Amino acid sequence: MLFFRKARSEEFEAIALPHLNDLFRTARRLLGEQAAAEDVVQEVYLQAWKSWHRFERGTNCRAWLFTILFNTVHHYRRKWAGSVTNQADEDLEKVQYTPPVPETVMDEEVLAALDRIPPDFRAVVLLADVEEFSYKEVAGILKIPIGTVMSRLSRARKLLRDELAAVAQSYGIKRASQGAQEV
Amino acid sequence: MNTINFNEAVCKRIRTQLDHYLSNELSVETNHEVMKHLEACAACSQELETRMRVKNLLRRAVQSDSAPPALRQRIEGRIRASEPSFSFLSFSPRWALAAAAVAVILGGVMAVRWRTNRLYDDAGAQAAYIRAVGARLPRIQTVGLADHLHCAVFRRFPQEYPAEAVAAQQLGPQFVQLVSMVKERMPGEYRVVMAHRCSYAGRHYVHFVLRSDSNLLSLVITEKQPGESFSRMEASSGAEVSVPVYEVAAKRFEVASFESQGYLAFIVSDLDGKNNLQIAENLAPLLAGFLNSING
Repeated sequence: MLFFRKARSEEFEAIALPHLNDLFRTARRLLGEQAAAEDVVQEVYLQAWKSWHRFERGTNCRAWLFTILFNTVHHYRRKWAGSVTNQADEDLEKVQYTPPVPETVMDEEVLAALDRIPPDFRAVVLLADVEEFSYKEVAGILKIPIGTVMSRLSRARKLLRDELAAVAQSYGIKRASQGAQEV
Repeated sequence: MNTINFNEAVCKRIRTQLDHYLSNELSVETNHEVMKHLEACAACSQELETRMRVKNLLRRAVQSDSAPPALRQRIEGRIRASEPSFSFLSFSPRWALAAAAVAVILGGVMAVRWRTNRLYDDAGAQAAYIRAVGARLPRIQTVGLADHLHCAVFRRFPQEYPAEAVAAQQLGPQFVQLVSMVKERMPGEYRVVMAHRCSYAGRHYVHFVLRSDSNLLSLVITEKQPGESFSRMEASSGAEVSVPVYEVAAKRFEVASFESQGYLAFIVSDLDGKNNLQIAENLAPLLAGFLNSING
């Protein structure tokens, strides 16, 4: 057994390390700061390496790593989970009419809009829409019921649309004021 | 022109499903119902398009960020550092089986001793290992290998590699020029983690340890003892090279050696033979010239 240690670390690097970017950018969006994200992702890998013997070969390593990521983030920011609002379900009762979202938005503006969304919603939209985990996987990673995943995702997308619509509006205002100056 | 009969109740129901439709998480029946509605309802279709656009914008924006390369290196370093000390003994599966059988015979006591980083702490075990690795080499080639194993492989390095001033102080005025020479001639991905004078098995060495993200390499220089020369061996480097370099493999280590009038020099690493030789060839002319100059 001892003699296979070398192969074990090679296996770990081959299977787990390719997800580094995905974990990093998720951590970055959850924590805001680059340095904090780097610390957390490093911690995730060290944790994963320590419990590599518990990882079931053939199962989804990426989802496993994301589960560790959210545990670590949770640990990193004890208060992180405390900010869920309960508006989500009421709002969904209404028919949603989305104000126009601009066709092209700068990446920075999208990220700024994302950062303004409450963390619990941000987490769900990152996992479902960026990392493309299924609802079931998201529920497993965040340890919440699937129903909650569904409502948080809808709410998160709605908040994001509203934020981006506000950006569009500011474009409109800019254009209008530029137009006024030209006249 | 299609007249859209806007039925608020239907649209309301469909729109609560739209996000799950977008995530491809609806049951077949509901999926079908949504699709049918979308064909007929421009408003809901428009709404779906907007949601899809936001999803794509989000994905693109978040994915524009990526982890700094140094992070990956740091993680790999931590993982490798946490491996047991003997992990550098790379076994093929066949050897691993044989070794496992031996390990069973030797029993638990031995296993515990291995586990407590015995090779790091026990000079006798180190010497035995060094002899085993170099067993098939001409004796003169083991000189550099032994110091690499003793000093670079078994040693725990400080995290911070020495400032040039420290290296210069440890090397002494005679060899201080080597610092800039090594810097100039070694591939860029290698950094000096140690530069000092050391001794092992009755010989004195000038020793540089360099590390890249995945490899450990030593430059070992020692004074010739009477009769020592590589000249009777067949050089590995081509005829066009002014200083011939001799390359041999010992287990998973590669040893490239060359000489000046008074010194033997070795590049020892866990690289493959070709790369190890290339590094040595690149350094040899400059270094041999320097060693000849201090020889007087």
